[in-house]
Amino acid sequence: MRLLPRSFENRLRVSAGLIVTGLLIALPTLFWTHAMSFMLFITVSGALTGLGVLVYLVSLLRHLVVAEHQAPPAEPPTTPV
Amino acid sequence: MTALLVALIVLTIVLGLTIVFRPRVTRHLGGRAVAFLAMFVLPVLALAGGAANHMERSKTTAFCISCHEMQPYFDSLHVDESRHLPAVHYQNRTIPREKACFTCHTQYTMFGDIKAKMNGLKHLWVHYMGTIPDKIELYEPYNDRECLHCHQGARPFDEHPQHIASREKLADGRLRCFSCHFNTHSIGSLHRLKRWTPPEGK
Repeated sequence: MRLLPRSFENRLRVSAGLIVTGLLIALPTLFWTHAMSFMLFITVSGALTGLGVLVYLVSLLRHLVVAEHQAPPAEPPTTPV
Repeated sequence: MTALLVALIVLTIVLGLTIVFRPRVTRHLGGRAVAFLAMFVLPVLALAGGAANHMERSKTTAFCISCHEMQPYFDSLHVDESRHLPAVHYQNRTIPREKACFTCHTQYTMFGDIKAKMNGLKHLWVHYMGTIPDKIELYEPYNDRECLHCHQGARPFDEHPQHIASREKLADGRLRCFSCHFNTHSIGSLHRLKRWTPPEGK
């Protein structure tokens, strides 16, 4: 099995870190009925989690594109005799 | 609902932390599937659920009065005066106490709730980033539609002698609800009015 490039794993870690941080902030806001809690959820938690998801999708896309380019060339078709 | 959302968020955090500390798990097909779940499906669900939860809680009276400028309006709900419109609605429970502000100040139209939420976002912006005006006013004159949403068809409304006598004027808009029922929040004279104290825990 071909190993995934290191940079892809790093991007996954960054993405997961952003999502975890965003959700850790979101958790207490669910128990606090206050205008500030709403603002925290929308601006900080929403932005961090959204950014994490975006980084994941972009890195996934980039990884797929790179994998496509690195694929071995197809065998030339054999000419019939 | 909140418990389910919390469980979803905790699960996402646990899976996310696994990827942070052991990214190698994504080298296998199963790990990649878990990563997709933990970093796309679950966070999107958690954000959508969280937004719905916050939207629902932003309808509560506790949420509205969490901004200090709304405190006098909440106090006005405790005026001990039978003609004081918001107080009568609140104290007689003709509106749910836990959603008192929203029940009267949303618009009962197709996009009324969305409009109320958009206005609410503007209020938050002004509260945290702008200058709070000395006098808080409605965006547009209070529409009778909001009163009639509950009162129309109700016996006390339909059978009231003055409502019967002025039915035509009410129907064509020559007479409005506030033409007679004009005692609203009365913030300016609040300090002169007697207060009602609800029993403990009510």
